[in-house]
Amino acid sequence: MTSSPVVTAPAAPRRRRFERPNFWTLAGLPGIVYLIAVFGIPLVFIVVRSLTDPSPANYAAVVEDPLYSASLWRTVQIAFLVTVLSLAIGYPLAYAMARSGKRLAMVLGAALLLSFWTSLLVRTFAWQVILNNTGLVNQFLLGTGIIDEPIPLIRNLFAVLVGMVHILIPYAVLAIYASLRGIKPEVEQAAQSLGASPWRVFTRVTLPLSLPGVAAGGILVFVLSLGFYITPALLGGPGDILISQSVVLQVQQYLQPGMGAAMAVVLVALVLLVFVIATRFIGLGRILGVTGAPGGESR
Amino acid sequence: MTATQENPMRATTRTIDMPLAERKERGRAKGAALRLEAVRKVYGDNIVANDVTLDIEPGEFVTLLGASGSGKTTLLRMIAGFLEPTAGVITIDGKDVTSVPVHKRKIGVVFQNYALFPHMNVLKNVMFPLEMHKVPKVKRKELARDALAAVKLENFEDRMPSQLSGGQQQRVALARAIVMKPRLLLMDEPLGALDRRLREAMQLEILKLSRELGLTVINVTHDQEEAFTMSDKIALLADGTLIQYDEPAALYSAPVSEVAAEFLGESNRFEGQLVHEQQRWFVRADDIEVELTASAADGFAEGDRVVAVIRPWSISLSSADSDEQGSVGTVSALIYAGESQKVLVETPLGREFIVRRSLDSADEQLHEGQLVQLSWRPDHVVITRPR
Repeated sequence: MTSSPVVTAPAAPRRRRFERPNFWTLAGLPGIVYLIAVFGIPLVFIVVRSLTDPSPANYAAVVEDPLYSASLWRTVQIAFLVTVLSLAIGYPLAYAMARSGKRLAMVLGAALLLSFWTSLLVRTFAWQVILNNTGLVNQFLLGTGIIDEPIPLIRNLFAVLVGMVHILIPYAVLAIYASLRGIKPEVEQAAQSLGASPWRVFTRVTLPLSLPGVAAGGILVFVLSLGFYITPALLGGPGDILISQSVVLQVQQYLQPGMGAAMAVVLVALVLLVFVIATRFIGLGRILGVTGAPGGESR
Repeated sequence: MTATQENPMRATTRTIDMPLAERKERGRAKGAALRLEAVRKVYGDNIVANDVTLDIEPGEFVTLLGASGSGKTTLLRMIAGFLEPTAGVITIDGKDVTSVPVHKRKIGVVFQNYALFPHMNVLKNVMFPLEMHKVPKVKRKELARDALAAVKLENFEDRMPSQLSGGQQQRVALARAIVMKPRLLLMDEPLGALDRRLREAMQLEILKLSRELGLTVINVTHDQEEAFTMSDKIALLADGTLIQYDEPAALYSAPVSEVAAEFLGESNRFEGQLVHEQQRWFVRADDIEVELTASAADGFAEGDRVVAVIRPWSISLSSADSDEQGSVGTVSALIYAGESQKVLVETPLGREFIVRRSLDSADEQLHEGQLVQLSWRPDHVVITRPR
């Protein structure tokens, strides 16, 4: 019994001038339209306004204004501090989540997400309640007699850092956690079997393999920090004005929307610059959590 | 080759065919002796290793064979130190290592998914253990290159693991595991992810390498063919219990239980009562009577419930008439399996025999539906205890 296989010539690839959009392109269309309508077009308005209200001289003023450049510099500094703190505190937490047993990992994850999902405003007010002169910490310290008068925990850099790190740390933790989970346990076990002590397994294998996650989390936190407004406004002191607060001041207090628009454009440009530099090193997909970590399942 | 003397990894001596005793003599200085004593591992109510006791001599290649869930990998992980036994003692060269951490055990481990460091190139992967053991920097490169040469990967130093095929990755993993010249090499289904041809080639290479180095090797697999090809001894595991620990030939010809007989390849099994009549021994079932030799019945008593095992290769077929004496059946299927032919024969009472014949044999052609006579020699019948 033999049957000859049916041979069919492969169909010549047809060249189409216009690729017919596939289903997912169409499905994504409403989202794209929405983004253009509520984000793209207003952004264009802002750029136009910064150049025409009254003139492009707005940018010159922005650069020359010492108040503005000071707040820009302060913003970058604080964003950097928040990033470093978030990574330093977030890494051990992510490591614990990735390496502990199911139950502990669940508890840690739930605590993290619960805080993540709570409104930013609520969390900021909560820190006010805790850090105020009549807040929980000072009440406690006064009550136990450790201090005689309230220590200034709020309206300063300390409070801004506490609030911002608390709000942004989930981004760092989740990015690091994802890359730690992507490391196969066998890779660490192999290192152990080859003579590496637990500390060297961490420094030579685990840490290097999780660096892309650290970078991704760090960039997310940094970029988000640059635009923070509510938290520094509520927790910071009058001297610690950040760039987003300056924009609001220009528009609402000094009634110079053109100046405000120019500042906003500079801020957006700064964020784009950070992203462009970052993508040169680790890829946009990883920052946004679209693609996985190396050493993961797929190969 | 002047390097042969000082560098065993460059040794070209053919040791693969050397008998075990001679290899042991050579290997004694290098391979480690391993002993498991009533090793037990329990998760909740689940016993994954049930008081396993195992003695492995220096230079032996031992395979832990079992189905998935038999506890073979758990056992290996306890030997490696990734898991701590619930009870029992593990000794290497007489030294209790049960609670010695992994990185101080000086063993090589090869994993099924290679477990190379994805952020290091091939050379750095192989140099990693040398660095961990504080081998002087100047020597690291040379030793790593020797190990890579031993697995025939000289020109791959600068590649990243992701640029290698599965077989090449496993070679790198092997080089990395032997570069420190450990005395004990553990392999957890090292060839499981490779295709058949590559697997067979690697089996021989690993075997050759391990024998040249005189290593004691413990290999885990569920593939009985691999176990028989590579091992000096096989430890057969089922449900966490060591069923049998013996040389492959002994395991095949004298399975200690039906579980062992069942696992070690296809077999025809008949459960019945052991009968002794007129100086001859039989296993008597409802529909069949199987004769065996007195030596096969050794250790059993008349009247015992036993299982007679006849290997498919031991049965020969000839065409038969319906009224002929003995075991007669109808050919129900003919299956070509590479170099051999598998014939399924069904008896009138519904029992199915599996028979294997070599394809180039001068045996007559069979066709489905044909009536055949089954015959075998009594000394090819093995009996064992029912499960």
